[in-house]
Amino acid sequence: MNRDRRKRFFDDPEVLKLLRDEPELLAIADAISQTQPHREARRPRVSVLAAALLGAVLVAVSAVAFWPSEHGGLIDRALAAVSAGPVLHARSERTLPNDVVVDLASGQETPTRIEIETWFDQQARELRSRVWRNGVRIADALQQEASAAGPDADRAVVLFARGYRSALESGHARVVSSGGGASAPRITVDVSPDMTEVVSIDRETHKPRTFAVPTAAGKETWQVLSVASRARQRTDFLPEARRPAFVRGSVRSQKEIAGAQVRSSGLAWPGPRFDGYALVRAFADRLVAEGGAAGRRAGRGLRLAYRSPRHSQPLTIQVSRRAEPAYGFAEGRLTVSFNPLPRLGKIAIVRVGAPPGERWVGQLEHAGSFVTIRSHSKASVIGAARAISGNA
Amino acid sequence: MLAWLYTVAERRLIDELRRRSRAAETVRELARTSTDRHSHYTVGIAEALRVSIAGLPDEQRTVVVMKLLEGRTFAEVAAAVNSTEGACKMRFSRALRTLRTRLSEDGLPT
Repeated sequence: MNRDRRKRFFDDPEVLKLLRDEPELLAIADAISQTQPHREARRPRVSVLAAALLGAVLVAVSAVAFWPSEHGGLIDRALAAVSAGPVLHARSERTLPNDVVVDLASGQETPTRIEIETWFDQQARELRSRVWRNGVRIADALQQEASAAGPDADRAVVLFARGYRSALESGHARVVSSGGGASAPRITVDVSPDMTEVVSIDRETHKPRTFAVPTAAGKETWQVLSVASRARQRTDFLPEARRPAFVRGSVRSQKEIAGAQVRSSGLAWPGPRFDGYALVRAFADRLVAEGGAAGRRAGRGLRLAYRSPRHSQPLTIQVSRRAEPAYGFAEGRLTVSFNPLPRLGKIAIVRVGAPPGERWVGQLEHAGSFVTIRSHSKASVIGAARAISGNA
Repeated sequence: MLAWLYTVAERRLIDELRRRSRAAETVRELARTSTDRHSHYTVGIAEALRVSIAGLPDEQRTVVVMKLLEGRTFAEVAAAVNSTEGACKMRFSRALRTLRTRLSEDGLPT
């Protein structure tokens, strides 16, 4: 624990470093800090924005101090490969091993595939990004001043789209390996003050093949499906189609009920026992969803808690007649990780957190019910889903 | 709402920088471009933030409160919520983006 709770908050570099190139978020953080009641002694009112400005100066100074000396050969060829026009158009993808769809009958797992298509006009500073998850387009965003990732596109991809070419041009790129044998040449590019990406370069075209960023879990690698620079086309930056307003949900009230009432609800559930788990508590929830085309609407759902002598943590199930945001269905139509809902007979499962404290969230539709299962055991989530769908 | 919030934040930045002699020129430049005369966030902003924070998913709200209102480090937050530092940073950023979206929908408070 950090004992120095009374130090000047914005002297702590964490918030500054994290939000350094996102001034709007810094402003919101500052406003929260200033307007909301602190749980401990209130700290001196020092603006995070002031610290951010000073931090930016330090970053600029350090960038000059460490100006790379290696800026020829491979980097020149890499730059030439993406210099035909002002717009850099790229399609990148990666799969998520801990975000999968499981076929309940066969047990076969299919990892989620994300594809992001970006157009970046370096002169106009406009960025457009389209996001597909498992083949379904879930976002199409246009940013006039591409200062940061939007809420939908992955930050590593957005920063690659807007920072790759300018890093090559400005000298913020270094050769890591010129390649040899089966390995491709690799360079590092500083795509933002706080993110450096490792890019492998195709030997023939000198275009990027992959780019990778370090993460808490290891390394995140994106495959570049295509990349080209060209003149701006009229359709590149058309205003995005009107997006549905953000839908959010909450549980407004809860009432404990008996197991018999769960049975009579008509909603899908695994029964009072399955796989060594036993129902220990059940609640009837009053839900509300707000936003979106439908506006505010009320809903109902059941929340069930199971325990097993083989597991120290409970397993919980939420079930309702609609894909309720309060129960983890994003926008009332997507899974908790913004994937399209799985087909009948399948369950979408995502890991939340890292081992050993990870949790698994599974979501499925069955017999007109929308179900969310949470457990510390992936196998238990699948077991509950099978009990619900009759594949046990 | 957001424009108002940013204007106040800018004013606060200027006030802070006025106390720092090394940034005097920057201050004067910023001061010339600022039209806002308020130095504090309004009750409307505070209330809109309170409501928006209350509407955040639990795991995001927890990180925001621990970081901004309890002053914990991300490592402390991660330990408290049994997660990783990186995941907590991600939740923190997502929470602020969510708040930005919601505040932009709310309009200017009166």
